[in-house]
Amino acid sequence: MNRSYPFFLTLILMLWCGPAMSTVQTTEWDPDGATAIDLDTFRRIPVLEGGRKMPMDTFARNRLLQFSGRTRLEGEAAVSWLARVFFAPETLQQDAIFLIEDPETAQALGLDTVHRERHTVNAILTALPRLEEIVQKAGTREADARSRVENELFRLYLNIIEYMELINAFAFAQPVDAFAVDQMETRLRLGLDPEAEAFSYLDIFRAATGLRPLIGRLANVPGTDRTAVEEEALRLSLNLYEWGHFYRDQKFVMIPIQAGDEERWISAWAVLGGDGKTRDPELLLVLDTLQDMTRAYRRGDQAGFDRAARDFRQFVQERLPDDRDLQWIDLEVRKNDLNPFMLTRVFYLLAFLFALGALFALPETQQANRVSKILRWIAFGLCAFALLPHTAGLIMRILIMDRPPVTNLYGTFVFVAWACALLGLIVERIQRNLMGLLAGAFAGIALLMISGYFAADGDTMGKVVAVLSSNFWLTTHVMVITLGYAGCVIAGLIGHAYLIVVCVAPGRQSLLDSLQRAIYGVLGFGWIFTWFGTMLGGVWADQSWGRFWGWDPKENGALLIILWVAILLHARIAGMIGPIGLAAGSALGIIFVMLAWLGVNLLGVGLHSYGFTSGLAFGLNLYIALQLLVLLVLTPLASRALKTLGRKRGQ
Amino acid sequence: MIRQHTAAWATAILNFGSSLKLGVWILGGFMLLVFFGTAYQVEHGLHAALDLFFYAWFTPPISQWAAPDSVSIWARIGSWLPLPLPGGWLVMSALFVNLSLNLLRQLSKGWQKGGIILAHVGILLMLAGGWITHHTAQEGFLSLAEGDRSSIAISHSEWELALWSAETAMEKAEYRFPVELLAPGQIISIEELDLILEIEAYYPNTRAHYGPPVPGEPVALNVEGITSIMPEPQRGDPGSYLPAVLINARRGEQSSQRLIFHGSDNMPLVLPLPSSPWYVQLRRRPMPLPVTIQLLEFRKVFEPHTTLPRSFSSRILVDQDGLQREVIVAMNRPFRYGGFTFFQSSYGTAGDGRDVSIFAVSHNRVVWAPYIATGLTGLGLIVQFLIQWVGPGRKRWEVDP
Repeated sequence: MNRSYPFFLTLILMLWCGPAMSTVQTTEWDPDGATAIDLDTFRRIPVLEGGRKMPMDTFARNRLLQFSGRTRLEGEAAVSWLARVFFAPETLQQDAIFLIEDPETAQALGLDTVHRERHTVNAILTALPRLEEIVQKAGTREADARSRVENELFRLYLNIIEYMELINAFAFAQPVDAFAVDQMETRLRLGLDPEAEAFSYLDIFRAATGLRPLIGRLANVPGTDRTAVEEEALRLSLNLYEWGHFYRDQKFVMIPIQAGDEERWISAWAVLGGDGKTRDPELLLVLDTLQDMTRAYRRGDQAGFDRAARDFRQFVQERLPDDRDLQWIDLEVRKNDLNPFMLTRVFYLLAFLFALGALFALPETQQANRVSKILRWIAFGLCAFALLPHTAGLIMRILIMDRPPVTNLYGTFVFVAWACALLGLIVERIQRNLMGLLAGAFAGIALLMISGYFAADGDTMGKVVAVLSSNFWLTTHVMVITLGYAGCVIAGLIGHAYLIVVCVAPGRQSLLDSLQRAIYGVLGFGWIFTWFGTMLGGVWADQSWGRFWGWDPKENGALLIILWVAILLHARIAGMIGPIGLAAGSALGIIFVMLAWLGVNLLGVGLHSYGFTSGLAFGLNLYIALQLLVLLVLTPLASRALKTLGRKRGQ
Repeated sequence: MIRQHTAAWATAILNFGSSLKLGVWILGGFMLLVFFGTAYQVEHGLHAALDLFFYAWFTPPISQWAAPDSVSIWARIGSWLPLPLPGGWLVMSALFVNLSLNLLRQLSKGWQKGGIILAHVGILLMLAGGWITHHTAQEGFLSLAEGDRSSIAISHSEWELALWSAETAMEKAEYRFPVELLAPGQIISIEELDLILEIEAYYPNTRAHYGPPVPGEPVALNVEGITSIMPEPQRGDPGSYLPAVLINARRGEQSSQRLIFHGSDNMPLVLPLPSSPWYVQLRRRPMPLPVTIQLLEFRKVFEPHTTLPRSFSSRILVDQDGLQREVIVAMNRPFRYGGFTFFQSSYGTAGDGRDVSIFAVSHNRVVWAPYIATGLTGLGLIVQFLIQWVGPGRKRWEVDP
């Protein structure tokens, strides 16, 4: 945040207290009809966000997620909430939409809470003066010099700004009291519908040429001598000017235009405040379509709403006939509906539980053994079945983005979860001892859950910066190295399994031997892929920046994994560690994978420093502490169990 | 007897030097170095970590790892372990020796170790290539406005004091002194010009002072009006350093003149010699290119309604002794010629409004080394994997029946 922020804040407050607060007239408003409107056509309208064309449905989910941490608002679909934001802002006051993670932050605003809570628009509006005061003071300092609470307040404030932007996006089409025309003469002279109950900014904007003669003589006439029509015309003129001035820099853009050979997108307000390039009759006509959409929604007119939404979508497609992104809008809506990674999580969880059940039913009797086999096959089937939506989700991401599915941290977690589940199934298919299943399903659930954390950052399919804009290198370097991560994670999980089996059943030698071989094989796989991926990253760096290796934290993170696994494999060959050492070392290796994957991003230095979040740092530290604790307990216990067994066998 | 004794010692040393256990310890040391060198970057930045950890024989003592104004864990650890750790050169040299000796031993073990041998050769090549690159490669930049052409790139961080006559192109100065030679007390005598330059001081990174002269400090002449200079610590990217040299210059029997040459000087100092004027400037070292590059067009494309760049690219005309061809240089698409590589690095705007394209230029004689090393090591790992898990005598990893 730069130091000029306070000036920006003042502007925002003006926005908040200015035209946006003008009351939407309740004419043409049918709450039951509006809420019953089917939004299927509306949610397929393409909009531009972060340089990417996405369906309104995705935009709504991303925004609601950003504000509230959820993609539904008390059971209401995100797109339904967004429709209310656009078309019926008077219904929003009681929406508990603004998530404040830290109760201390809420208390700083005078909100009475002791929990992480979502606060209503009304409550936040009441606290706004206090919020602005704090943010203005904190805005004079750099972000890293601010307290946690201050940073959280900044986040909240930016969310309010974006929320206001959304509310204002369709304000030009809503009937508001600022543009009420009470005098019949005014209506007639402006060419407005004498029967209409209310008027919008757009209605008055179109009639604006009629206003000039009405106010032409007012400069020389004292206020007391003005007629009611002149007073009304003056009010309309001033409101037109004020609104146009306030809203012309609207951030929500949905209208594509061509400026030279450059594709640009503008807001509806930019069309109205046109700078010459945007004063296009066709663009003005499309505003009518948007107004029709608004009115149809408010009247509960399904046919009219669908027609307007369809017309608008067709307008965008005709403007960008060869655009690749627009071809996949419907697929993205389908992906949102399917929510494949959520479905996948459920199946992995079931697979894990069935595999656990099979493990506990395993050794006792022949019948138990049969039960175990059945449970194992069910678990295997569930895990394999989970791969279907998982793979489908990845393919959809590839098609929509036109990129390999690993362009950001979210993508890498989803991909590695998939690779881990697949590796687990392969190990299980070969060894048939449940450990591959347990490891694969567990990694699948855990990594997909972590990916959910990154999904909260916003669009998970955002555009990449120019230097990453290479499908060849994303495919070779990033996918290969993340496959290496997957191998090391699965080896580490099997390492945990080995230590646990040694502790609880040290006599099961054949199982232990097979686990040891699995660790060795999967670790080797992970090592080779991490090594290859890292070297390919060096080649990419050489192609992009002219240096193969620069000791950047991300490179060093990958090198740490390579060195650690090299140490384990060589130490095992040299007899410096035994099976328990290899298992514990593999388990410890997950820490290095996480450090390379996430930790170096948290350092805030180097070319790969992105996605910095304090919550992530806490989570990573907690994981490392727990992992070390588990190993500090398990390893000596396993070692002692093996020694005890050895002594018994010796006797 | 003595010969036997010597042979036994040599064998013992060879066995120790090539031992797998030693290799494991070296890898462990390497890991610690990488870990601490990375952590060091948080407070001190990448370039300090490079100098003190990765491109050093020993790291500084642990007590010095903390930033001067922070209470760090390093200060506490360093108080009871006031020792340096082995630096990158030492660790990687030890690894090189251990791997080389081990390789000699592996050679006698036949094809079953073929993969390991290949992989180790690749790693040796990688280490050697890295060392050669670090000591011989040059890095610079070439900044061209649309329509401009040049056959000289400018070094990123290497400086020189150059003297040239009015008849000579500034890039081809008659006298060029790398700043490494500019030690205090050093006297440079240029007989042709009857000129003696006595180096008073050289600072690798400084801040210029333009105000009234500092009381007590002798008056000095500078082309930009700098009156004194203040040394700055060498932190961050060396390419951002601004060096300065203080020189006492005299001709024949004339009294000496105190001169300041600073890295920020935009123009050279003119020496009004009787024959013709000569120019002197402290400047980034020019890197003559084997071709002349002309920028025909620079294109930058942003994602719509964002400041997120989608692509940068430059259409250039490459002229080698009259033989011309057009080339596109873009992100991830460098142009290579005669050991030089040109990368699309950045862009700007010239004073007259023309687009300026900035190319990073590197000259590396062993640019191929990491590519071959990667290929060899990768091939070796795959071969060994196949020998071990698929080939005859493979290890089984399914459960015993």
